[in-house]
Amino acid sequence: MAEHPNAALVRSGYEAFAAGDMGKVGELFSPEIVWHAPGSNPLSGDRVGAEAVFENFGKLMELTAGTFGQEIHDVVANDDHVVVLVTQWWERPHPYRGSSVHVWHVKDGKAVEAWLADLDQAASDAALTP
Amino acid sequence: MAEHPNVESTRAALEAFMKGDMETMGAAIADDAIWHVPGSHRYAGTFEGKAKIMGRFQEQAEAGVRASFDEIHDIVGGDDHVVALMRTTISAPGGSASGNAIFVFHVRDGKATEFWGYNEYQAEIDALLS
Repeated sequence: MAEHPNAALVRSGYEAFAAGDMGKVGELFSPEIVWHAPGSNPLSGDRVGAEAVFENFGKLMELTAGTFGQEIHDVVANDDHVVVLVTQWWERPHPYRGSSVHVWHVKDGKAVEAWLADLDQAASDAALTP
Repeated sequence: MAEHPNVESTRAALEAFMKGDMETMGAAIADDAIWHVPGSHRYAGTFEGKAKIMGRFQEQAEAGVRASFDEIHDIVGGDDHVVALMRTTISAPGGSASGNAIFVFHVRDGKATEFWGYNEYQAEIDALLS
């Protein structure tokens, strides 16, 4: 089956993020986006609004000293949700490589909510805590 | 867009599990499937092969541990993966815990070949089942 348009939309967001094109990423976010980051590390918790989410991205880059990377394993989507299966890694503050699931709620072509999940949350918490 | 056939078969298997129909659920699991049960409790770990996976369900049931699905919020899938967004309850003789969960299935020829689970309330489950 052909890829759902919402899957293509979210994929383009990950590509823009990887290229450092935050302007393009921002165009895909609803201004009222709600962001749920799991676990108990410095990035955990809820963020409301695109500005707060970008602040969290900045914190991620700072905390991982620019060593953060991610690769999409698969994207599945329907009219309400896009789920991205992703492998993430970083070297600092502590080396980590693991699988995550990102659940996006998409409405009218914009991301309105994101729920993130790391399959081994204890490992990512430890690796993100300086 | 129409629901992907892998979504339909996963929905049928989850609904069978909810009704306690382990035979129908078991029929949706490939003989060489691999099951990743998250956490640090006594039923957590990686189980290889349908016999071990079904044995683990049996062992849990005999110990009075029950997983129930309060809500199948959405099931999103494609040719290779199906992701179920769930609200689940784990009950044990010592109490119960509820929260959001994500089930990721790798699907081949209409059967689950691999399962990865994520529980947002993993710490509570670990405490309950330790």
